Amino acid sequence: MKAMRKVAWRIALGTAGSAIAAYSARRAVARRANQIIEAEYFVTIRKPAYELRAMWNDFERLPVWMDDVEVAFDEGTRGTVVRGLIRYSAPMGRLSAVRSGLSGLDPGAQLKEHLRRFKQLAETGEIATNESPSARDKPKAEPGSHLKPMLDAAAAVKNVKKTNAKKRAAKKPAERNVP
Amino acid sequence: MKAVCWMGPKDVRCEDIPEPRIVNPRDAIVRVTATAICGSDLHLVNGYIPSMQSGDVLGHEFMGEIVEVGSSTTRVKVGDRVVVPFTIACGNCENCVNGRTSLCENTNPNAWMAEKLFGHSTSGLFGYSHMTGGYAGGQAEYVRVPHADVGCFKVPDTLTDEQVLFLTDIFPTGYMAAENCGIAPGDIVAVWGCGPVGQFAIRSAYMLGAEQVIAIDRVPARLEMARSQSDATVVLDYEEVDVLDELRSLTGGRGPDHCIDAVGLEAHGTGFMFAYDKVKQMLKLEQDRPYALRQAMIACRPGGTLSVPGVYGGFLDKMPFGAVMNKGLTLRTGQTHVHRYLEPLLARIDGGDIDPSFIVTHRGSLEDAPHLYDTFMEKREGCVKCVMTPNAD
Repeated sequence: MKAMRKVAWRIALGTAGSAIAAYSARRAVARRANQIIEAEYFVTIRKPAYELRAMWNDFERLPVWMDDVEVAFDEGTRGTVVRGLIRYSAPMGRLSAVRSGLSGLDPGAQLKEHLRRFKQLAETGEIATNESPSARDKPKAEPGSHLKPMLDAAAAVKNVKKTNAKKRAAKKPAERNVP
Repeated sequence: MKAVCWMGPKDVRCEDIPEPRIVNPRDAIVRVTATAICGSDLHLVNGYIPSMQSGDVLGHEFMGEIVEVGSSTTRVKVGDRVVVPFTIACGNCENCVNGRTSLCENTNPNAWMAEKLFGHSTSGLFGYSHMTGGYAGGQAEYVRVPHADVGCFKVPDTLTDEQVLFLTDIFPTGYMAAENCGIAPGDIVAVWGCGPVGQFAIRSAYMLGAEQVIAIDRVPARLEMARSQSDATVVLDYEEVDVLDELRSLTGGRGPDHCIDAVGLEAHGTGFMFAYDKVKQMLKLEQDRPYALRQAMIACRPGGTLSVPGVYGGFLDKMPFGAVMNKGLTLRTGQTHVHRYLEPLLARIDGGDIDPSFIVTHRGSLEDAPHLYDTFMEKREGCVKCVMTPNAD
């Protein structure tokens, strides 16, 4: 029975296999200690370290939650390796880290995007954008609209959470106040 | 402006949409004079490439005239007549500097999507799903071209649009497929798929010293083109003959020295394995239908080369990888580093070695797109390549 359940899970997860695989690879560098998640990312940029250090200070202001980010610049033969390390707490522990990891919205993933844009700016002088017309009801894309799929995924997760909360409330009204 | 848009699987329409504008300082706007439908566009239309959004502008083979440039462009000017590689490259990252422009590290704003599927991202591509950047494509009257100094190549006025248009993708793609084989004089090359990339792979294999090229397909018009235009030594209709048997007897039992899969993820075939792939793909248990690739692995001479210009999207099932390992095959593949090949191949066209316009069978306007896509998809009327002319005077 247990084996059968395992097989069923494998099939169910088959289509999402890629996301799961990528998740585990990324999480390999994340460690958890007392609900604190630590994630580190590396990016190699073809610029000397002193230029990057100066640029980083001028780079778009880090979001408030990113105050616990460490950045190191290590110049080598193939460019400067920029290492970003972030520590953040996951309110619901490991499970919420898994969930937000899949939707690409956890602070670690955002730090990764930040580093990616930093590389684009340092190497090309601009940040890549796909702003261009389409037949959707959008005469022109707003800045940052390429993040929409990410935000949509987050909204979907929120909706599921709300629905589940409602279901739980409807199911066991009496039990909810039991300490 | 008019643009050919993907509205959903098997739903292509010519829509009126806003014109693009300069966003970044290295951008240019190109007024499109000719644009083609690529076989890989059919994978999008059939819904096999993930992350398309309704309304996306299709097309990655286009050329035209520069009508506006951003403040940081230095090499290209308004009025230049240019062809534009389908891969978007920055020219500054390590991969670009080393000529691997289809692996540019800075041009995919949705790199995180590709990383989830592939581990790393490729470059941005025009009109080819959001996973590869979500850039609007070239089957439109105007296109925004990022990093225009790197991505716009001037072409001489003595050559027609149809002679140079295929420098944007399929000619370099066929050429890189042949180059990846490492052909030595006297070698025998087998090419699966006689669509446009297959035709250019055959021609390129000869340019690089192949003695014989064996072409495999099932569509009579394509086999005929391979024989009469591309000069294939032998053409095999896989619905008529056993391809593996024929290849053995044509190569003294050795197998072809190099096998090129110019088919990709929507291969057709015969027998049980084809039915197996078709059913699994329909049930979404398999993304790709790698019939031709499997056959190429089995056919190839021990120690030979397997070159894969055909597009694959994700997970392949029942691959005889044991054949690849045990026979010591070399596997070469990738999206085409168009920037690396464009100028040398332009020189060959200009010098009269090849006139790529031989593959064009159908022509029309952007409004004709739904009909042209359908004709190309069903391979009706001997359709091999469709060219559309926006802004036709």
